[in-house]
Amino acid sequence: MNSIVSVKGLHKTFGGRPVLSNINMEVSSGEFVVIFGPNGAGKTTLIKTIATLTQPTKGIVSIEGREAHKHSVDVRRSIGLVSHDTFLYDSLTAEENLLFYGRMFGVDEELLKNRVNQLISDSGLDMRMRDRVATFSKGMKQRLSIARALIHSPCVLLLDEPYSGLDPEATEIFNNFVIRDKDIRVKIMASHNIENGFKLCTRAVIVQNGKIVFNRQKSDIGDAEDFELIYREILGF
Amino acid sequence: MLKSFHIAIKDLRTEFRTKQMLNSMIVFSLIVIVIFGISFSDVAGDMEVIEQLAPGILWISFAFVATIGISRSFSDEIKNRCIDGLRMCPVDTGAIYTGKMLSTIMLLFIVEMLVIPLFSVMFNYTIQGVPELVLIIFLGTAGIVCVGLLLSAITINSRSGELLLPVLLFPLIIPVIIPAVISTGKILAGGSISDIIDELRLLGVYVIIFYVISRILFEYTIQE
Amino acid sequence: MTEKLIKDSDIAIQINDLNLWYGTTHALKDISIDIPRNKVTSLIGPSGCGKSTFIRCLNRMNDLIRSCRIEGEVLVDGENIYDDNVDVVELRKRVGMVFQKPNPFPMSIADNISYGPRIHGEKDKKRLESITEEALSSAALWDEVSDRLSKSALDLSGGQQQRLCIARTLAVKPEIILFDEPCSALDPISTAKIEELIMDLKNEYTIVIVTHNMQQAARISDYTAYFLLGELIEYGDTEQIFENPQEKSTEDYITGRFG
Repeated sequence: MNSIVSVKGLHKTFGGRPVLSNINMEVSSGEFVVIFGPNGAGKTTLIKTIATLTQPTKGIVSIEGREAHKHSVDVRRSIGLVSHDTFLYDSLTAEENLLFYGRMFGVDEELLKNRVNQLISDSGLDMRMRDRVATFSKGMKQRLSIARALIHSPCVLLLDEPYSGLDPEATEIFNNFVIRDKDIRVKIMASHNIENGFKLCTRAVIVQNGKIVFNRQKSDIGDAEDFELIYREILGF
Repeated sequence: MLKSFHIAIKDLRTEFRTKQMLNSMIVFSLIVIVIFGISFSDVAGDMEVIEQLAPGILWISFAFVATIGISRSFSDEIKNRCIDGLRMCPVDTGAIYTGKMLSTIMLLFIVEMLVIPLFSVMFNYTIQGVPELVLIIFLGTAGIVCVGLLLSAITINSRSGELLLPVLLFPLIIPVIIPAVISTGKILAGGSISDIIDELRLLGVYVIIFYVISRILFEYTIQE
Repeated sequence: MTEKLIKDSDIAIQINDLNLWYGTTHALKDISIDIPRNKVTSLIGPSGCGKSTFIRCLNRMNDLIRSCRIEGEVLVDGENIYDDNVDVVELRKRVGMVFQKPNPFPMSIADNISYGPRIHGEKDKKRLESITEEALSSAALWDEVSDRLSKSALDLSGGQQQRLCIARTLAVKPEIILFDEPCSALDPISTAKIEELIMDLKNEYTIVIVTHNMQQAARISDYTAYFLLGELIEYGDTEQIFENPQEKSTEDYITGRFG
C-alpha cells in the first residue's frame, strides 16, 4: 500500500535540545494513527512538523508523495489541522469563520456556501450559525474547529490533543464528527486520553523522549485494558 | 493577491464588530488634539502660528495612533492561535503580511481622516490642499505600518513586547516622519504638489523598500 | 499433569511445560494441556489465577509486554509458535482473539470486516463484499446490519459490537478462536446470543474461552480447565469437572466456597 503520509529520519531540536529523534512512520489510506505518550514526549511537535508548521532539523516529511516542507503551500491543501487552539475568530460568526477559511483555501465560491451549510449541519451548529463564536461553549468551538479543518476536504486530518476541556458528551459528539467524513483518507491524532484514543485508532504509536517506542495495529494489541498495560509498562509506572 | 484582500476584509470586519482598536485610537487622538488645543488656545484662529504647529501636532497624533494600531494588529491572530490557522492555509506568508498591512493602513487612515476635521474645529483653522494632504498622510502611514508590522511580529513573543515596539519603531520611522512633516507644512502653507515632489519621492521609496524587506523577513518571524 | 484425554490427531494446540514470568513474578507454572480441535474448551478460576495470561500465550499476545519471559512450548498443528522464524502476523490470523470489551474500528461496519482481509492483501471488491457477508452471517449479525453496512460500527449496541468483533476475526478465516471473557461487559440477552453463537462456531473452529462465569462454562464447553495461582489444577470433560471433580481445590471453587 502506498503511504499517504511518510516521515523519514525526522529530527527536531529546539535550541540545542532534541525534541524528536529519528522518527520514521508510514501511514496508509484508511488508517487512523493515534500517537500516545506523556507530556513533553514530542507528540505535538511531531504533529506540527507533519502539518508543516514546524521545520524539521533533519529528515523528510512527505504528503501524497510530495516533500511537505519544500512544497508547503501546495501540500497544505491536503491537510486539515485540529488543535486544542481553535484557530477561530471570536468576533466573527460561525458562518463567517468558515467562509473566510474556505476562501483562504481557494474553495470555489459557488460550492463554498453549500459546503459551509453542510459542515455547520454536520457539527450540529445549525441554530448558532449566525452567532459570534465568542458565545460558543468549548465543545461547540471544537466542533466548529473540525468543520474549519475540513472546509477544503483535505485527505489528511491531523489532530493535536483535541479533547482538552471537553466533557464526555462533547467528546462523543466530537468523535462522531471525526469518524464521519469520507473524504479523509488518513487521520493522525496525538492524545493523552488512552481510552478514547485507543477506541478511535486503527494503529497505536507511543512516543517517549522524542522517539517512537511502540507502533502496532490495534488488532495486534488486544483491547483497551491490554493497551493500558502495555502503555504503563513502556512508560514505567 | 486575492487572499491578501480576504485577510484584510476579515480584519476590517472583525474590527468593526468590536471597535476596540478604533475606539482607543479615536479617543487617543482626541486627547492629543484637545490637549494641544487647550495649551495653544490663545493662538486659536491665528493662521500663521497654527500653520507652523499643525504638521507637528498632526504627525504626533498620527504616530501615536499608528503605534496603537500596529501593536494590536496581531492580537486577533494570537487569540486561539489563529496565526497558525492562517499558516495552515495554502498561502505565502508574504500574502498574510500584505493582508495585515492593508487592513492596518485602512484602519489608521480612517482615524486620521477623522483627526483632520477635528483639528480644524479645535484650532478654528481651515485646511487647504486636502487631496495633497491625504496623499502625504497615506504614504506616511504606509511607511510607518510597513516597518511597524514587522517589528510587531518580532516583538510579539517577547514579554516586554508592547513597550519594546515604540522604542524600536520611532527611530526607524524618522525617515518617514521628517519628509511627512515637512511636506505637510508646505501644503498647509498653500503649496502645491510640485513643491512636495521630493518628499513624496522619499516617502514612496521608503514604502517600497520597507514593504519588500518586511514581506520577506516576516516569514522568519513566525517560523518555528 | 493431564492424562491423554484426546487422540493426537484431534489436538489443535498442545502446550508443554509452559512457564511465564512477568519480571520476577512467576505467573504461569508448568502448564501442560492439550486443546482439542472443534470443541469448546473453557478456562475457569478465580481472579488472578492466570487464565487470561495463559490464553494470551496461545497467539503470542504476550510478546508486547517487555518484562514477560516464556519457557516451554506451544504447538499449533505440531509447530512451536515461539520458534524464532514464526510469522506472528500469520499466527494471529490463524489464531484469532475476541476481547472482553468490544474494540471495533471507528469505521463503517463493512470496513471493519474488510480491514483484516485488505491488510492481508485482498483487493477485489466483490470478494471483499462476499467475505463481509459471510463473516457477518457466521457471527449471526448479518440480518441485523445488512441494510446499514456503511453506518459506523460505533453506533451498534455492545452485544452487536461484540458480534462484529467476532465477525472481524472470522473474516480472515482462522482455525482457532480465543475468547477472553467475551460476555462480561454484556447484558444477559446479548450474552445468550453469543453463547449460542460460540456453540455453533465450534463445528468449524476450535474455541478456547476464558470465563469467570462457571454456569457459562458448564453450559457451553466440552472441556474445562481449572486454574489457580498460575497452575493448572484440573482438566477434563466439562461434565466430569462439574459433577465429579477430582481435586479438592476444584470442588471448592465450583461449589463456591471461594473465588
